[in-house]
This record gives sequence, structure tokens and C-alpha cells, in this order.
Amino acid sequence: MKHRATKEKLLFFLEDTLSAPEKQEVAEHLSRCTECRQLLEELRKDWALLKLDQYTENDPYFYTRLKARMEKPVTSVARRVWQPALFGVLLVLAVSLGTLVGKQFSAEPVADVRFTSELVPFDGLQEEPIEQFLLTFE
Amino acid sequence: MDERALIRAIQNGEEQAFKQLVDNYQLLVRNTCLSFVRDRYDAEDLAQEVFMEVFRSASKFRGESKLSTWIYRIAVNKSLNFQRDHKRRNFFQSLGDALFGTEKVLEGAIAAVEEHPEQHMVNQERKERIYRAIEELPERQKIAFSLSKLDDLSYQEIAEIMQLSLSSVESLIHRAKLNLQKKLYACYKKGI
Repeated sequence: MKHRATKEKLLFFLEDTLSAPEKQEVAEHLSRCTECRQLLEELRKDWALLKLDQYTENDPYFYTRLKARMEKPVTSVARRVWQPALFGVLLVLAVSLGTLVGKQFSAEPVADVRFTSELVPFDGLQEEPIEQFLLTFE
Repeated sequence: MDERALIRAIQNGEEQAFKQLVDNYQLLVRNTCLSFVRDRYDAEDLAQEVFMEVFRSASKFRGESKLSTWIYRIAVNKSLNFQRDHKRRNFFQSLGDALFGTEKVLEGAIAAVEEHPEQHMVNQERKERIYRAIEELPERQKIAFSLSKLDDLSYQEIAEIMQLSLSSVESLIHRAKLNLQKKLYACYKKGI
């Protein structure tokens, strides 16, 4: 059996789910391929750890804790949704209020719209003709 | 008390029946949750949520499937939802850490003192590697593989829980194993 094909079957070889001829072929390849032997060893070590953390017996206090949790008033989900929303609304209100109060007590005079609309751009030439300017320029 | 009588009693609000159901299925539920979330505190929390859901939805159970299949289904759904939320939380947590420089507490940093701490560390790394590989599997492959390999369920039971044909489950588990093998080989190569 080729190296690549064997590599794909190592996990199934480890789990003993290959057919007899396939198992035989993998075993033969393993006897002469160091890399595949190392891979199989690594897989074996990893696979052995898979179920080590599983619980093996009932927890006698599980029901007591469950019951206590069930008897607690159900506020957590609603709180999780409403708290950020309420916080957001309060924040917007506070910012708006701050802006409003700031405007009320603002020291800066508000610009007169009529005045600015009547402003005529400064025309230097009208004030001082260029001839006059050149005569006085030294 | 058989399954139907048990559920009927729970529907009628009999606390003793609910306690019996919890005692009968707590190992199954805690282990299923643990297969998906890998943290005992989270698994415990989730297992409680599963039983709360069982209690709330007892009236919806029509007995079309086995009680254990129904409970498994709830446990798997809750665990998957938890994983999705957890990923989102982790994202914001890492964002917060990046912004505010919070120190990250490494999982398993407070490891149990054992006779062979070095071996414990090596095994811990191996476990993390393999469970990370499982978590990265496509969702249906992950469910089928976890129920088969970690919860020891038969392909028939998995087919009932996932509401798939037997051949689909066989195919999912086969592909899951091939994918896992590939991911693990890549890790061995990198020496992670």
C-alpha cells in the first residue's frame, strides 16, 4: 500500500474499523515506514485522551442547585436585553440635555443673520486707487 | 415509572417526577454539554439550562421520539448556541484586551498539582489540540462525531437525534474522522 493511502487510514486502523485485507496492508506498510509509525503513535496518544474528562457518576447536589436556579426570579434575560437599551437611551438624553443647557448659557454672541447677509466684500481699490498706492509706495 | 408516565407527571407539575428525570438523565446531559463546551463550569451551567428547558417544554413532548433523544436534541442545541455566543464573547474580550491591555488569564493555568506535572502539561496540550481540531469541524460533522465518540451513541441514535438517515450519519462521522486526522497531522508537522 502506498504511503499517502496508508496515512489516510491510520485513524481507522487505530479504531480497528478496517476490513481484514486493508488492515493487513496497513500493518505491512507500518512495518517499513517510520513516519507512519510515528503518526500512528501520536494519534494513539491523542485519541486516548478524548474521553478522560467525561463525568462518570451523578452529582448528588445537581438537583439542589438546579432547583435553586429555577426558583430564582427570571430577570436575567430581560435585564440582559433592557439594561444596555436603557443605558443607551439615558446616554442620549444626557448628551441632549447637556447640549441644550450649554446653548442656554453660552457666552458667545449669536451672529446676526441680517448683518452678515448685508456685508459687502472689501474692495481695496475703491478705498485707495492703485495710482495713489504706487505714488506713495517707496 | 416509564417515560410516558414520567413526562405526564412532569406536565402535571409533580416535582418528584422531575427529580427522577434529572437523576436519570443528568449524567447524559452533563457529558453531552461537556463534549461541546470543554469547560466544567460552563457544562454544569448548560446542563441546568437544558433541564429548565425540559421542564418548560414538557407539555410539547408528544412522545414521537424517545425521551432521551428529545433531551439530547435540547442539549446539543443549547451547547451549539453557547459555542456561538462564546465565540462572539471571546471576540469582544480580545478586542477589549487589545484596547485596554487587560491581562489574559490562561485556561488551565491553575492546573491540579499532580505527581507528574510535566506529563500533565503535555496531556493538557494534547487535549487542547484535539478539542480545537474537533471544534473546527463543520457543525454537523462535529455533532455527529461528538455524539458518537464522546457520548458513545450508536449511529442509529445519532440519526434520530439529528433527524438524518443512517447513511448520512455514517458519512458525516467518516468525513469528520478524515478531517480530524488531517488537522492533527498538520499540527504534528508544525510541532504544535
